[in-house]
Amino acid sequence: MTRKPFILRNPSVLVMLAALAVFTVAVTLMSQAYGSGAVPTSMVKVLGKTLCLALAAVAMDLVWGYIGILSLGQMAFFALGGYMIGQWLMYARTEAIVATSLAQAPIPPTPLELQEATASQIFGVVGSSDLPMVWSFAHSLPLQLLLVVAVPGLLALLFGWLAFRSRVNGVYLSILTQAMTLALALWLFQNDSGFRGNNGLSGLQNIPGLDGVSQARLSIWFLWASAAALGLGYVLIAWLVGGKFGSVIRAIRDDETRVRFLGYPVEGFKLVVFTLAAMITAVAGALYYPQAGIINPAELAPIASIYLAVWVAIGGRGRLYGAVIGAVAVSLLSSWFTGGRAPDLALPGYVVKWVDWWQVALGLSFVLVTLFAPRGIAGFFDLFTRRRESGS
Amino acid sequence: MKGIDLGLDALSFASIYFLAAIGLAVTFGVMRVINMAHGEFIMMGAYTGYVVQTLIPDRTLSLIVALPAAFAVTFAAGVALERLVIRHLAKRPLETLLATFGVSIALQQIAKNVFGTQARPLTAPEWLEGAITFNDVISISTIRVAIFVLALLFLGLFLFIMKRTRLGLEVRAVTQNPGMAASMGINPDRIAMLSFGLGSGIAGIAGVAIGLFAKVTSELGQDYIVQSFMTVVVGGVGNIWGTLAGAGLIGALSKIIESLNPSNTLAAQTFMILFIIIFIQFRPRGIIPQKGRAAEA
Amino acid sequence: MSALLEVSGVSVSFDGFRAINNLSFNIGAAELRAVIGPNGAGKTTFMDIVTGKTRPDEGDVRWGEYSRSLLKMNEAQIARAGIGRKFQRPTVFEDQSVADNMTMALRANRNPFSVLGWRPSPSSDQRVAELAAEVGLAGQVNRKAGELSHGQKQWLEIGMLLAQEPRLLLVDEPAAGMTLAEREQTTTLLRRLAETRAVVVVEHDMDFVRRLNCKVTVLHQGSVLAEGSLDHVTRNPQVIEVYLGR
Repeated sequence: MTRKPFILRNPSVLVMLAALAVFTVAVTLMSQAYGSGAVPTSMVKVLGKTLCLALAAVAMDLVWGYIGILSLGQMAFFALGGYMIGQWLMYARTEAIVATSLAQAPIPPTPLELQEATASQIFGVVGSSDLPMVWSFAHSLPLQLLLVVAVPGLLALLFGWLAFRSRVNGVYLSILTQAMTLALALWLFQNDSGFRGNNGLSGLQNIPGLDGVSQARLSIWFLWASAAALGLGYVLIAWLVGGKFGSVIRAIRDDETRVRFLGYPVEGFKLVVFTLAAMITAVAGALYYPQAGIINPAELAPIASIYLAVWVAIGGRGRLYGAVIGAVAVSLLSSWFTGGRAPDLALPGYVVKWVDWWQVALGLSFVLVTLFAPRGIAGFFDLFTRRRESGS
Repeated sequence: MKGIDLGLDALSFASIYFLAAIGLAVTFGVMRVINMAHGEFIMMGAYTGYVVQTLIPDRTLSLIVALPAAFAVTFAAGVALERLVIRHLAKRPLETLLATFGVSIALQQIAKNVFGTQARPLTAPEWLEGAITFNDVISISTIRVAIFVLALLFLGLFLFIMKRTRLGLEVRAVTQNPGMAASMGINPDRIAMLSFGLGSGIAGIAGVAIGLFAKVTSELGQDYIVQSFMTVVVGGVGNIWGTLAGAGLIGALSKIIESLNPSNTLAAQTFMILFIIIFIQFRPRGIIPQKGRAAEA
Repeated sequence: MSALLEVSGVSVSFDGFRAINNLSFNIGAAELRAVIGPNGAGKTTFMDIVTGKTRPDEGDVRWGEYSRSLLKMNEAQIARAGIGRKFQRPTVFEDQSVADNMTMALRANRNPFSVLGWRPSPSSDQRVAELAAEVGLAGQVNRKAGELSHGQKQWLEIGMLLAQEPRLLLVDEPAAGMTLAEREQTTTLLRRLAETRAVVVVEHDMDFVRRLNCKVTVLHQGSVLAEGSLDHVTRNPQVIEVYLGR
């Protein structure tokens, strides 16, 4: 038996990377900042955000499609990543503005005064002027970047350790992850949690230190970063599920008792996968929210995490490209239909306005997919490749 | 004094959770199916109550009509859901969860399209308004007493159906051993359909009850669904006493936490959920666990 | 005699029903043993206790040269200590190839990070090929396990057990659903395996047990009713009563 290099054994990884590269170059060439301007900046942002969602979907696929944990809490990690980067974005930018305004004052402000003035700017909306403990590192980009992966990672580690140790499984585990998300959302909604309650963090599209750079350019830079993150995350996860590790986690999905009797520490594997996926999801979130511009606790609503599961299911779980296809297709379609630009459908006696009826169609189509195409969109690719294999 | 008042509040919370969860206990406990659309069945019940009230102006009469009407509407919806979707996803519990979620978002949006986004009133009859006052501290609104009575009524009805009727016997048989039940001439499909309809029907009645004191919106169900699941999971699956214990625990606890920090209900809910997550660590099968080989399936 | 596995005075009840009642059982390092008994005698529960799936209410289970207690270990730790278990119904990972199934079972570090760093080597490939040949699946390593016949799945599972290189093998009703020829083959294999390790076979089928030609332990109502050669125990009046009705 000869072994080919990893990339050659997985042609789908190559195809995905190539498609991603072509897409990125094409959007760049049509952007307002670097090309013809056919794609407006707002659209570039939508596309960049979609790539981040696709990365979150790939991580979801790792957790659900490969090791079999239907986590309804992935968006908690996504949003936490956003909050962590948002802290720096908001603090550094507010500090810069405050410093400029105080520079006119006769006596230059001390660092403490500067910090206090910044804090009262940020927390005025929730009636506070102190900088909460959780903002201790907000002045430092490297530290907040570290927190982007560390905080969601630790949360996943702690939650996973508790849940897997007591062998909570199946639907129970799903409900528990949902409860975790809800608890986190409710906590963030409080004004005294230190994250500005339901105001959330805003103005995140303005990057401190890059004031001279237009949003048109920034949007393209973020598109590149998102594409790179998706590419790297995709390769990492494809490598992970390709080898013996992937074999073991799929075995855990199918029959975890049997895997235990083979001597594998099932809980350890689940913990590694759950934590890693949480960190990848957090990175996706940290890239998403600067493009969205605002983050608030509503982003953690349990329904958002279920949507992520829906995308993966529609795309086809257990196949990484399925997750990407599902996330991209459904999220872009959703924003098109709910954006009010889709033409109304005139039925005899009733005009279907998509703004109102898209959600209904999505819900029902989801029922249809689980019933009739459990392999999702990727299942059709399987039909195609299998026919080709048998033909050759 | 304060304690008694708190106790009464906890009791009324518990009866609401119990009402919302009892239907779920039937569908989740008997069929091991997570019905994410359960909250929407509660919402459908509440809207049925609203529609009945617009047709029948007399509030007492409309309430008397609304309760069976809500049961009928949601019973039918439940049977349809079971026959069209859930039956075909047997043995795929996680996919059932997601498919019923699809139904849930579709139902929510349909309600929004039909009734609009603003809250619809479902007004209680006059004899349910006001409060029963014992003294300055202890008082309880009549509607909460009514809900408590309704919860008791359902507990009784449920026990009667399960322990004293042919249907209950067959449901218990199917729960314990579907294959054996089938070989004795019980049709498990029919039982599954009926018990799903029953659970959904109860959700509809709970919806009318909840609608009497809460605002009827398309998101009504979402407010209760997570708590209902918690109630069932904390109590222990497949046992009505477990559901009762779960509702009692959650009702009491949310009241106690709230009273410790009355200004901050969000914090109370957060701690509540954290408590449940930790509770599950120590009693993964709930307060009253299912025992024996059936529990391992 | 130093025993490899020593079960002493173990009891367990479910819902007040005593599935195992003060059971004691020993097996040496290279021994073949058949455990028989009517339905509900506690055979499966006995295996559950040894493999860590069920915790006994009282009693002790000790293992190996240092007499380590198995009661504090979980299923995976017990499996790593060298106890392999074959289930009654073949349980292989149907979604994966025969080679993947065997590779997973191969003796190697089971820690998640070691598994991440594990790479196939010529020696691991060769070991998989050898095992496949030994259980008659030589030409099938690249097939999906789900495509195999019932008998082949049984063999694949036995192959996986061999790959684990256990010191004690617990085999639950190996003959169930096998053809006569396959039974012959299984008997030969089990006897050969028992030359180098301990093998416990739980079986219903008296003919099959006779063929194994080994010491027999009869379980009844959760405790040992009789022990000895098959001829010895079948002459025991209590055993006759239990098996032939009272």
